[in-house]
Amino acid sequence: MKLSQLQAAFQAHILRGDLGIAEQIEGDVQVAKLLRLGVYTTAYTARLVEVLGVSFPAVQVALGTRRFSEQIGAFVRRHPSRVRSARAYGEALPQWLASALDGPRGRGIADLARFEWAVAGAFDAADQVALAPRSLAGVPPAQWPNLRFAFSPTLRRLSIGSNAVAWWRFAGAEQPRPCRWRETLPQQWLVWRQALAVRYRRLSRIETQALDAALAGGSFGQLCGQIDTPTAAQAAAQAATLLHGWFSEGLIVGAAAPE
Amino acid sequence: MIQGFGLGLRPQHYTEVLQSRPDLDWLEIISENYLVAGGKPRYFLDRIRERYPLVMHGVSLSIGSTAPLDFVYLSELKALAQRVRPGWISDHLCWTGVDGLNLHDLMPLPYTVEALRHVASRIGQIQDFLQQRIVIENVSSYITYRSSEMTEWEFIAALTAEADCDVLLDVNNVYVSSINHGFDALQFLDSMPASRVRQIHLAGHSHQGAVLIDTHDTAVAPPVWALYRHAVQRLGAVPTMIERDGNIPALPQLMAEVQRAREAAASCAPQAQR
Repeated sequence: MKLSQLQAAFQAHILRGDLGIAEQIEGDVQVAKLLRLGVYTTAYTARLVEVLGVSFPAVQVALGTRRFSEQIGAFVRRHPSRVRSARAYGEALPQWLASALDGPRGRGIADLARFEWAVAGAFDAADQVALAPRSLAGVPPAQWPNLRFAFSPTLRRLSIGSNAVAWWRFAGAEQPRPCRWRETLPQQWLVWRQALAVRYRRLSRIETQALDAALAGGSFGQLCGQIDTPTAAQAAAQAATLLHGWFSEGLIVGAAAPE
Repeated sequence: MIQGFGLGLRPQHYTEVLQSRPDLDWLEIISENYLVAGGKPRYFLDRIRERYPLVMHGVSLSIGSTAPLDFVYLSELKALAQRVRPGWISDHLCWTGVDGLNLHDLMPLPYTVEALRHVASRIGQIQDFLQQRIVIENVSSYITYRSSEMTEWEFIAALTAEADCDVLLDVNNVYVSSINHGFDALQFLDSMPASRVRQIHLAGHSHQGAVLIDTHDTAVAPPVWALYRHAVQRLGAVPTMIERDGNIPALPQLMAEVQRAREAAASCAPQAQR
């Protein structure tokens, strides 16, 4: 058997249980050969479950260790890894959990997984120097309406329709265990990294609209237009307050007013 | 030039390594941990590099795979090497997947002439790309292929000669495979091309029935220390490190193992270290 065929057969055994590779293994006793091959098949699933346990520690707490191993083991068996780094393997897990689990608890755990994936993504996203609030001090008033902003590559926006973040805080020993899984109206969340610390907070309706407009490339003027206040001056003042907060939190890495 | 005794750098120890400056001659990093865009891994890497020489150890080259070489990975590895300026770059004599899939494991190769030529050719391409000689580690294995035409040690010796690469001798892996396959570990060590052995790994293993598993989650076992002393007697004081990947203990516990390696080497090879 050529090397390429041998590797394909071994891989097929690990991923699908195909037995063709057994003929290529030394030993007279089939059971003994399968036990030896089992070291590799067991290790494959165990390693990826372990990796996902590192990426999704709160999901592991929420499901319990045994259920996590079963549930995530099923995910691993249905999703052969195509990523070079095991660290990137969990991207499809939140969606899979959403389809595999039922009820408020299931939907909440899927939300929790999305939140954890956002945290993991912010953790080692690209470094980019954040602008200080005073960066805009020299911008002439006439240019303000045209100002557009570039945001930190660590920023993640999520809409979560459950109390998943409370469970995440519980898993991190930041708050008592919630009474139960609860569905809510969609809540808007922001996850990002400031220096080395991953941060998160809930967004108000007004901030959500303004931030989403700015993230979509909207100008400061358009951002003001998203804020529903009695006067334009009040909208501008509120937008300026939000903007100052984004600068202070290290969310903005670029600002320019194109001609 | 890397000499003496090192430790595998793990995120759990970043802060302590920087604050307590443990008595280490060098540290080994897992290359893949730093092939990220930014954040803590790169922050600590840069600061630790200011204080210690580093060597890079990877798990993704898949040197023995019949899938095409991943030049995206190699480009990232090369860029990391330019940042780290490592003593050397190592990876494993194994394959990790074919057909676009990744088993995330160090899969064994058959020791055939076909595999030897294939791996030697790929090492040549990798060395040309990285513009340096690479270091290849022997892996633990749990099966033997019927098609093998030579022993593992014969394969490694032939490979280093044909590909002009160096060896990372994992003494624990030699022991684990010797028990699993019933070969003489001393013969393996005695067959290593001495001038090519650039680094030694010492690690722990565990038992799974009659099979030993290369788990790296326990202290180095007594038979592995005995083999290490034999290796030092034959190879001299090759740069040696403790490799721990699971049940990672506090840094002082690992430093005690590093000290044990120092003492074992000193008692066996009083000659100047490489």
